[in-house]
Amino acid sequence: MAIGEVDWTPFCLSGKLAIMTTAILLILAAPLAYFLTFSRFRAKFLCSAAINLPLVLPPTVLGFYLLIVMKPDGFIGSIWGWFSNASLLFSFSGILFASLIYSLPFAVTPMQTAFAKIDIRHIESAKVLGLSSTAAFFRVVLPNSLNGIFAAAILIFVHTLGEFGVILMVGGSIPGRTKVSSIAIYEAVEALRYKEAGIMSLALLLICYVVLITINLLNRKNGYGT
Amino acid sequence: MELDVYLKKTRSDFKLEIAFTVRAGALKVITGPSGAGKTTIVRLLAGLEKPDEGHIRFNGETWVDTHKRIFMPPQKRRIGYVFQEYTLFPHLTVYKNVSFAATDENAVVSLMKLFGIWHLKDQKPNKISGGERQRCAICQNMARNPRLLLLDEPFSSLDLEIRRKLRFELMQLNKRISLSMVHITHDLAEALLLGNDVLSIVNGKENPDWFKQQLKSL
Repeated sequence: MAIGEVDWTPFCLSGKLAIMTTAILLILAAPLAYFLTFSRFRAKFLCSAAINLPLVLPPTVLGFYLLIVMKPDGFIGSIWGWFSNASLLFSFSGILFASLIYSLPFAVTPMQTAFAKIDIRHIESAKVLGLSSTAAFFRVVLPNSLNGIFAAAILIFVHTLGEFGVILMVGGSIPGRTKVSSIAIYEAVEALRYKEAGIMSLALLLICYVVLITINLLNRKNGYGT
Repeated sequence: MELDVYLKKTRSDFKLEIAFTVRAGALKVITGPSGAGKTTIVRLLAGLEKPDEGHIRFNGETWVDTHKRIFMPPQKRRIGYVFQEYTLFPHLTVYKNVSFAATDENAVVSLMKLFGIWHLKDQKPNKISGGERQRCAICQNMARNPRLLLLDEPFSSLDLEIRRKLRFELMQLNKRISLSMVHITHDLAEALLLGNDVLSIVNGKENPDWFKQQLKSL
């Protein structure tokens, strides 16, 4: 089988899912990481543990709970249905929502690490110079955490590319809608189409390898913002 | 009288209880041994910490009054605060650091020329010397046109010659623009040279004898 004969639609879907998850999570995770790093809220360790749950939970457990909240009469599913008059389960929006939850710790943790490296006196200095907390975040914290934010973006992207269990549970395997690359590989193996599975696996492996090299280069880079 | 302060704050290692005033345009020096509570006082004045009890009034405006539950955040006090160590923003050039919160772009150029750092305008803070960084920090705070300038041992990490130069520049600045300043130092020579009003504190309390004893032992 030649590369041209492989159906790359699942890869395109994975790419679209990874790009959208990365973009949305970067925006959502930044204030969350800022809060977890600088807030004096005593119970923030409980928030931190909840955010990191997807790291330790089996994807099937997470997928099961997502199914419960995303079903048409579930908490999230009913809100979604009220707005869109459609089911969140087995849709692209559904796997996007699941990806956001599943990859959240991969966004928050690197940002938190980058924010924690910022000298607190820079933020205090910004406040004394008249900046609000929000302005200090955009003018001082973010510019000095670019490497951490970039690392978070790469981690979210690559993690989303490799998602399998959670997506299978909430999205199934609908071609062009929810059948992402990892599910396509699994199905190719099940159908004994090893060459097709091999080509797709090699493509994923190369992408992930390049991404990890990029992260290593970033970590090695000296100077502020690392 | 411009600044009227009474502060009480309990720390794990000592209890701060201090009252003082700073006249308009005066340079008040607060001195004392390490751990006396000097930096805590400046942080309370800046609004970076809250006192357990007390008040801070500036020109009739109340910044803090614990009885009336008034606390003005640092952003609204319009003060300058030069920290003990360099707090220039590392991602910005010297010029952008000075103009960070400037009210007048022309003042930025004048200040940088006055403090002899104009030629460094395109440099990043990690490429300039410690003395130049502290000059830049003073300019950054002055460019905001502050009503009160707080200096927390700004020259302590500099070598003697640079320290002398900067002390002189600070005195000149105080005379020229008549800006009220609170300067923290544990350097007795600096306290004597700069202060037209010296407050010495030990273990969070005013102790004028400490300063006299230290001067005698010189």
